[in-house]
Amino acid sequence: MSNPRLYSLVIYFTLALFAVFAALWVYGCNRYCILFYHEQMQLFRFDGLYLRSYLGRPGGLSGYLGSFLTQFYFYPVAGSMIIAGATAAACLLFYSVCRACGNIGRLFFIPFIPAVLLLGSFTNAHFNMSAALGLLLALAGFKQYISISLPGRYFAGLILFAILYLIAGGNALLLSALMFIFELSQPLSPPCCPRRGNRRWSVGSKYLYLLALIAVSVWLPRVAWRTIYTVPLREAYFALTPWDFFFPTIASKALWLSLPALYLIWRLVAGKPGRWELAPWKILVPNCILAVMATACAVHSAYSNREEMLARMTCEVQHGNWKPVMALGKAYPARNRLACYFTNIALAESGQMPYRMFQYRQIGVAGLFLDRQLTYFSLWCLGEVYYRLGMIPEAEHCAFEALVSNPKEPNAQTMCRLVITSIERRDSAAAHKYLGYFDRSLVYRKWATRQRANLASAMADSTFHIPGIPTPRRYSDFFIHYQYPDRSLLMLLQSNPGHRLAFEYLMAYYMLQKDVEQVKWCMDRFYGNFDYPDIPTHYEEALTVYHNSMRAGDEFYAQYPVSRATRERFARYVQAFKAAQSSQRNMEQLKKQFGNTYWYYIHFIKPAILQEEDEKNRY
Amino acid sequence: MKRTDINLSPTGESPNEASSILSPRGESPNETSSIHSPRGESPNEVSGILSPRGESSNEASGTLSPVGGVCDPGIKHIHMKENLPDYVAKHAPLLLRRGGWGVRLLLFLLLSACGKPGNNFSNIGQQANIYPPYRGTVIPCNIAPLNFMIREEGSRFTVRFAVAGKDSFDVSCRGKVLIPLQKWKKMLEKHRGEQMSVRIFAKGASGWVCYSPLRFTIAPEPVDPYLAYRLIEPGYEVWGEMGIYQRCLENFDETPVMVNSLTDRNCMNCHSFCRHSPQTMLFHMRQQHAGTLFVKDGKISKVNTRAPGMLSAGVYPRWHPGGRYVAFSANTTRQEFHTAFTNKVEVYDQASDIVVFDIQTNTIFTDSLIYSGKYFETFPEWSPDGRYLYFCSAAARPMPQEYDSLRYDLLRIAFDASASRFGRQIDTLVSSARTGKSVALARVSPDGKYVVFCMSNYGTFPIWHRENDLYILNLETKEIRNLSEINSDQSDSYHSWSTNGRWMVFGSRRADGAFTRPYICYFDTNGNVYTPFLLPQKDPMYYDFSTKSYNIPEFISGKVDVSPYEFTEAAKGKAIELNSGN
Repeated sequence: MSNPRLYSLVIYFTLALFAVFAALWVYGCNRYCILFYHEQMQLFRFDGLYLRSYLGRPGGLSGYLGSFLTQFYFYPVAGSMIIAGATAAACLLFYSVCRACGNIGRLFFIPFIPAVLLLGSFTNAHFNMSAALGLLLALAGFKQYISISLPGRYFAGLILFAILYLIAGGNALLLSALMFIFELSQPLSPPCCPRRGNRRWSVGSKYLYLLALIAVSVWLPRVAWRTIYTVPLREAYFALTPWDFFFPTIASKALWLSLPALYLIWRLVAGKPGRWELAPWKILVPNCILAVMATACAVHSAYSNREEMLARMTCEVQHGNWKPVMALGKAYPARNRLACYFTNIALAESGQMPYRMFQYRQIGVAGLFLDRQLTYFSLWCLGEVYYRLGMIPEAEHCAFEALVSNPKEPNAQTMCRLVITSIERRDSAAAHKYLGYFDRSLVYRKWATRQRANLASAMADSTFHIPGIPTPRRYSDFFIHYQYPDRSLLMLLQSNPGHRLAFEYLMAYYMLQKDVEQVKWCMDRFYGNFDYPDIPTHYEEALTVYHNSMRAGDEFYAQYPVSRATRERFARYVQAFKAAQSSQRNMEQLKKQFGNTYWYYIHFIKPAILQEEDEKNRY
Repeated sequence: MKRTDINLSPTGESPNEASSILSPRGESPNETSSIHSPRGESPNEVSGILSPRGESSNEASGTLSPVGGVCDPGIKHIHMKENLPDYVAKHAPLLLRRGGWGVRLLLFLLLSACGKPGNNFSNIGQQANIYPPYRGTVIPCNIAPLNFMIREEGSRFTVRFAVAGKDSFDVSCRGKVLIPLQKWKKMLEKHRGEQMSVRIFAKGASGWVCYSPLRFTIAPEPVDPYLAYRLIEPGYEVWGEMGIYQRCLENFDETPVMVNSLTDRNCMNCHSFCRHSPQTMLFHMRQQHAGTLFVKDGKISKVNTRAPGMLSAGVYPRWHPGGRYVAFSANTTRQEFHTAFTNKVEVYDQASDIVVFDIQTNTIFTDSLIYSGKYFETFPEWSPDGRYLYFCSAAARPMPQEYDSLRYDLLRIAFDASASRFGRQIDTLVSSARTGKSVALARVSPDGKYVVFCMSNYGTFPIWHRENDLYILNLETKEIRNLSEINSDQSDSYHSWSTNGRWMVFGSRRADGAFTRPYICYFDTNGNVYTPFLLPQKDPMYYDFSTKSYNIPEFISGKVDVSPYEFTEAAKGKAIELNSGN
């Protein structure tokens, strides 16, 4: 082989470029759906109890280390570098494993394949750093294994499998597969291994070892299942691999399968002599192109702009950044309930709901309130609107249910909310309990200190309110019915007649239900409590509809002075509506002119409705 | 020296030797003024001058031991002659500079010894702030070490466990007191009926200080060796991982009886043991593996306890002491969520009846007196002799409209086990009309003398009622008393007696209002109950970082030896249908 240094140089340079690209891709395109999501779904603590909570499961140590690294996703730059580092490490480890059997520089795109698959796998919500670490440990173990010469290697193989099983769960099976391939393809007197065996081993001992390896691979997880872990058998065998994920993606399965497959291919190819005497650039350039193509394919298939947008909206709503939420709501390319829900919260919080809500995509009352589905994300998001409305106990209820339904552990997202709601409710014991978790966290410790100060202020002063947090409202107790959120809003308004957000939500609810009589009733009942300079645009539009459909007289406009401009515009809309019946072009014209009005919504948008509870009041 | 015999006076009055007597509240009548050596002698008797091992100073070095100091209510500094560790600590830099390797090694060893209180210390006339907040009470002679955290200023701590004049051992730590299991067990076993003092020494910037001792009376009667409970996050409609676990009370071993991760994360609940026996038990599986799993003589069977016409499959099971029958409640249960009330959720029955399952014949039978549309009957419980069935009952009301008017009485009805028949008369033991409260979860003491039950302002699910308290009914005098010694301002419920009737375990949310923790209390022969203590954990911070509630803690006399995998196999099998009975 000519010029091995050149090959190495090109490979390392390509790898460095790949790592930089991976970091930029994660930071720029997946900052929220990977970094924010995973960081919020856990809360790493520095205490023995937390460690022990991991060790009770197969692959617990990898899980723990993965959580340790994941906590740094709190800082997006650090998070993207960690993920880039993990993908580069996968490439490097596989490269060094392959290099032990031949000049992988000739086909150096091969080690990039697992790396790009790993990068793509990170976009799967169920694929986390723990799984990636398990895989890296399996590769590292294998690298160590092939560096051991006979006779110790056979013994070491079995020990390595056992150790890796305890550390990285099902990834030990990956190691086992790699070891199996290695031994099968290894000549009795190995010509190319780093440390050549001095003794010639009989075929018998080799196959005996392979049988032992298979036996241990099958037997050890089962024994651990019976004696150490109380988990389903599948988890005992496949913990931290895609075969134990809730929703494994093809990329993540391909990642695990690719390693033994690529290694086998390389072992077969590496042994073929005499076909590689080409000029270096004739080898390197195609390799670079293949590596780039593999990367491009992986990131293209893994990236989901919509998921990223929704994750970002979740994050921005959580932080009360309304402008980006509205911008994302506007830009969201489809009719999505969650996007609509978050957009409406942002519109209401920024006081623009009565003026601009129909400038954004509306899907009916389902875009104002979510169904109560008993899953983490549904419960978490459902509580957001109650939180913003100042129904703190209800927001706490949803946060607690979300906490319980999170399959992993008490996580930062729900625990932060529980701390805030406990402080606002002056529940010192509960607040201390939840804050205790953050005291042991590296990235949230300062936040916890600030909240302790807030707690102290809240306990000392009954009027204290945490700045930047929705104002808690007092109201008479009632039983909540999630399928009838208007009842909750009415109860809230009865106790807080000046609660503008509740009023606007109630108005929006009736408007989206296309119930203009209720809109009128709501205006009669509550509108006078607020000091709007003029009737907001959408309310005017709804009132004109009411006036038109109820054939109310001019005295109606005396009571509700709808502006002349709105009335004239309505007249134009009626004409355009009539015209639109005759041609598609006119219809498009109507949409262009009046698509952002309540009139258009009431005539042309088919609303989604809140689902009826399928299991009412389940217990 | 005076002998410290056990005297568990309920009033806390001290007939003669106050230092050995605990009130039900766990207060020592003269806690701040009592003086104890590690051996428990009073300083008057030993001249107040003791070595660290408790020997008289005349025989030893002539210096005061830490525990020989005068325990004034305030702080009193006692300056004494410098001992070797103090001298070494003071002159360590000089010795390090000038000494050779031998001197340095010696210095290292001596400095290690400086981790314990020397002779200069101050007594603080108050108890140290510890967590869990053990305040001294009666503890079983076989309980696991009561590990705790010291929440006081100090770089190092020494905790001295001592029993009157006979035994002592020290534990040094930086705040987390992990008591050696063997030493603790040996001490408790050896000194049944005696009092143990726990003294905490803290090393602060100004030297060592000593806090007033905690005093625990070691009861002669042991508690059952195991406690079974369900661990579940106290969600309302959702759950994550849950399981029924058994905890060895003599150490910290906790093993699963059954966990829902093995059965597709379904719900499981209502475990019940026949006379505390781990060999005869049952629990329910819900959702996709619905059925009741019975264990009898090591054999598992899964039964569908819902007979045609029943409101639901059986819940709230209670074994007849004979082991042949299990009383269940069959309910139509609903829940509503409060939006602005101290109680977060309202669980109520729209209908409920009581039925009895006969294991022998695999049939369900009942009686019109306990199965009626006009009344809600629930929470069955057998008397220890099996001759009575206790239960709660309320006149049926439209629910949930009148949820806060529903109040249950405590009733009982005679039962003839040989004929599988109920009597024709119902006795009202606790009338809600008289108390204005609602009864739930009656539990009869093993001697049949007392019934402990929950009472809340209204309704049927005490765990979600903060105002719920435990009450005791004396069946001989018919006197009802609030167990204020053990109740808190949060919900106290799910109580259960030990086999010998001297201990009671119950669930309480007193720590944070959200998570139920198991508390154990002593119950003497006169019906007095003593300050409860939190179930000890190996890591005293355990409860701080647990989001699980301890549901239905029940003492059991041994370990359930059916494995979770055997339960899984049975749970995934088909349930046996009932034979057509009465």
